[in-house]
Amino acid sequence: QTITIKVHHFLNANSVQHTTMLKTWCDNIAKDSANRLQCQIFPSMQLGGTPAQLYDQARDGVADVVWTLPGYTSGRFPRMEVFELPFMMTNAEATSRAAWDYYEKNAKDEFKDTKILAVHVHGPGNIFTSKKQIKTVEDIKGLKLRAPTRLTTKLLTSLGATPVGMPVPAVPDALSKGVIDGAVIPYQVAPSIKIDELTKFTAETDRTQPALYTALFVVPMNKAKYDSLPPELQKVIDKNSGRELSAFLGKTQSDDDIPGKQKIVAAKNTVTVIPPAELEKWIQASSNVDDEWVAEVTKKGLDGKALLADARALIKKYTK
Amino acid sequence: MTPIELAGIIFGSMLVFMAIRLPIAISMFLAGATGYILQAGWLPFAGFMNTQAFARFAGYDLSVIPLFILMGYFATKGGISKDLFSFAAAVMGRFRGGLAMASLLACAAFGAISGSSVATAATITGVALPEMKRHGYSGRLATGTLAAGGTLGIQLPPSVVLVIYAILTEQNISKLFAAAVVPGLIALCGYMLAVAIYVRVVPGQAPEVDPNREPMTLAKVIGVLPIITIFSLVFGGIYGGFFTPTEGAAVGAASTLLIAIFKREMTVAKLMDCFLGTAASAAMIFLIFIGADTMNAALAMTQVPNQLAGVVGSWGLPPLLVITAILLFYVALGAVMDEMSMLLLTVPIFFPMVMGLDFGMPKDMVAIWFGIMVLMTVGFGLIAPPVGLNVYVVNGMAQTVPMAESYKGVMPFLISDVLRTMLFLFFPIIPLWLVQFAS
Amino acid sequence: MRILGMLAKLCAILAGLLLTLITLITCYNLIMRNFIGESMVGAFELTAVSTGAAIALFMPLAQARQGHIIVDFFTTGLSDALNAKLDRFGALMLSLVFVFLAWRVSIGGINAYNAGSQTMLMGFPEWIVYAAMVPPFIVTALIGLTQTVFGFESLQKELTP
Ligand code: NA
Ligand code: NA
Repeated sequence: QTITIKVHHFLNANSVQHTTMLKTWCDNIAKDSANRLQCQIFPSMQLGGTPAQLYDQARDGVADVVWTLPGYTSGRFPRMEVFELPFMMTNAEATSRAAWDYYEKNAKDEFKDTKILAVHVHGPGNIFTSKKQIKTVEDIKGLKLRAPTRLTTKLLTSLGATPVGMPVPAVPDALSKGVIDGAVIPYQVAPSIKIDELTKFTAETDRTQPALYTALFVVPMNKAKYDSLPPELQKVIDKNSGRELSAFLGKTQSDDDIPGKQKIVAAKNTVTVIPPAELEKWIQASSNVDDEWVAEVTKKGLDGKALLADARALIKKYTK
Repeated sequence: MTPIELAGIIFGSMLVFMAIRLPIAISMFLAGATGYILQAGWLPFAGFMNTQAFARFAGYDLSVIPLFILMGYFATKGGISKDLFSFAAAVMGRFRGGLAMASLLACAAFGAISGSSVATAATITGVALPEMKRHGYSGRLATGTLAAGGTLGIQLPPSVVLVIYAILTEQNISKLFAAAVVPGLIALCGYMLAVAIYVRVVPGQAPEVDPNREPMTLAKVIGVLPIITIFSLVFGGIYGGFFTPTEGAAVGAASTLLIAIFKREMTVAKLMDCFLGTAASAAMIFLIFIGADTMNAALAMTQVPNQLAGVVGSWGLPPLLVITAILLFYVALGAVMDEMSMLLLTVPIFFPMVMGLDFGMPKDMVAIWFGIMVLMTVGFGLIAPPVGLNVYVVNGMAQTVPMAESYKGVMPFLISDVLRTMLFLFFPIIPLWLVQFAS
Repeated sequence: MRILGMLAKLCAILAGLLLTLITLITCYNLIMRNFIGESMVGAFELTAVSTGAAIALFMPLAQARQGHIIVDFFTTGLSDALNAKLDRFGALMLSLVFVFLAWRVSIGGINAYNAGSQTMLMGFPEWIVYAAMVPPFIVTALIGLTQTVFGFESLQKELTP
């Protein structure tokens, strides 16, 4: 008799997250369980709720497995947020491995009401602008930029931009009308919100250097669902979760930056690579973001300094 | 139970609940909840309901709806509708059936700042109906015109229906608004024409010449300045790059309130009336969301909606035939249920199906065109018997006119609707022209 | 009964003021963003959560005024008395749905409080919105129940302006 695993996420059915990342996981558990575990993947929030509620849906059993960003509910997962600090990550696959180790060591408490199957990050974030080319940190001054996460808001403020908050679906409209001058996002997401059509310039950081920002994703599973599985099927889930799944998800999503960038280039967008020397100025200008994060987390009774150091060390360990 | 049977039971039980006069939102909720629990069990459903009210009520994309409604009430209570109608009456007075045409013009102008058809119908009816009666118009023509004119509230941007369509299909709200402009103006012209023909063909509906028609005065011109100001501010701001549509609705509401205060029309009592009116309209819409969400989640779980697109695609029917079939289905379904609930339930199912067809134009253009076509059927359903919401609203305000008379009165406008829908069906370029021109 | 009508009105007016306040904050934020180059990044979240509370606060009045759409097409042939009975049954069902909603939203709010859920950019605590929804849902349920037992006229008097 087959057991159905309801997988829920907020992207559409053509996204790489749906067609490759979650689908591969589903295929693997089906194969390893001799088809006793079968997925139903529900894209585009078909089971209701908002993206920010996906984590709770996994906790409450509305869905069995979800793919979501813990950053949607800031304040709830303070330890894990460290990976979203500016200039942390160079390689998404390596950082995803580091994120898994960090989760196991430091952050299990934050996610104790679900069973976490993977944690991963996306590829390096870039700045896409419609009117002004960004070459130096001075060029960012005064630009109205859409900020993707809580910490990028602080980063952009430190760099002199006016961060503007709006949900992702509102970005294309706001760009085309000039409500915002640009958006900060990885290549992978850019075409899906028409960045290729609506902007002319891309500032990407030198890829040997730490990226401007990344965002963290988690794949939680409903605990009761996991517990209800017979031991041999639990083993199948165990086999298909953890560091390697995290690395696979991080790699697949950041590999999708390549076709994303191709679309940007095909649309005659001018891509400027920010060289290490210039980038150093950006890092200096925004060093207060790290300090503020440490202070905030410490106020919550955690050892902010140690958490940041640990995340950095783990990223370094896996990044070659 | 097969998935198809399950989906049928969910949908069928909703219709039964509706038929015994349960509120539509509650009918959808009960049917959806039953379907949900049958498939997933009680605990997941309870978890779903823990967060669903928050998800729907506190979502940014929908905040635009109560704000546009509030703006409409500020405009109504701020005396803007009165000024609008007296200006329109002075413009159209010389024509036969001029006051009916003036009502349509006033509906269109009010519709340009209101997003709701019921609000537009009620607002303009309040000032236009007594005037038409006084000048010897038949109850049939007067109520029919106002019910049809009210639909201009959604035919012209801003439009609650287009906001909902945009959210359901992840399309750009501003582009849909832009696409609705030309069709909305064509609708206005079509309705005017319907009046002109009707008063000539059917005798006794309107006076042949109006001996005591009002002349145009400077005061009347000044009277319409506020609405022009608000309109320019909201749409200039949205299309000029100063704010998003939701921010535009907030700016519109605030400026309408300021103008009403400035005109010394807004008293505390009237302000309270605005809030109470907004409460009733907004709560009605959002409770329907909760019902439709529950039902949609239950239907999604059956996987029938996901498979339907593939099945219909595999038949290889001509795309235009599929669209026509969908529109006819909407007309039939709209005959027994309210149009917004219908959209919330069916657009998630039909939209992927339509996007899978080849119309020889880019996908995002198909999405906008389909939105306009859907809007046409909604406008039709709002005035078509047996359940035309706008006809209820207008007829309810005209106590001496029998319902059957009002339904006779909307007939010329329904014919105009059908012709217009066919026009856009065969010439998608008409709605899409402004969108392409703007980008 | 009188008090329920008053409560419904009070909720709606409170929500109306909240919405008006939001329009003013939005205008202020737009002026800052477009002319001064500073802005409240989370202004849109503030709009969303305030609207969320406002919509819930609108619910009692809508039910007191019988504002929810029903289909009367299939029952036009029945007697007025029977239709009135059906409408009372409808009010009872609505009342039960709101009891259920109030219960589930309370749980949702407790969860949000325990988890410390906040909006993404502004860090606005979400439990506050949940908490604001529960009382109006209870009032709506009570209104529905009153209408079931005493009919719809019982509340009309307080609500006609
Ligand atoms: Na409108
Ligand atoms: Na209808």
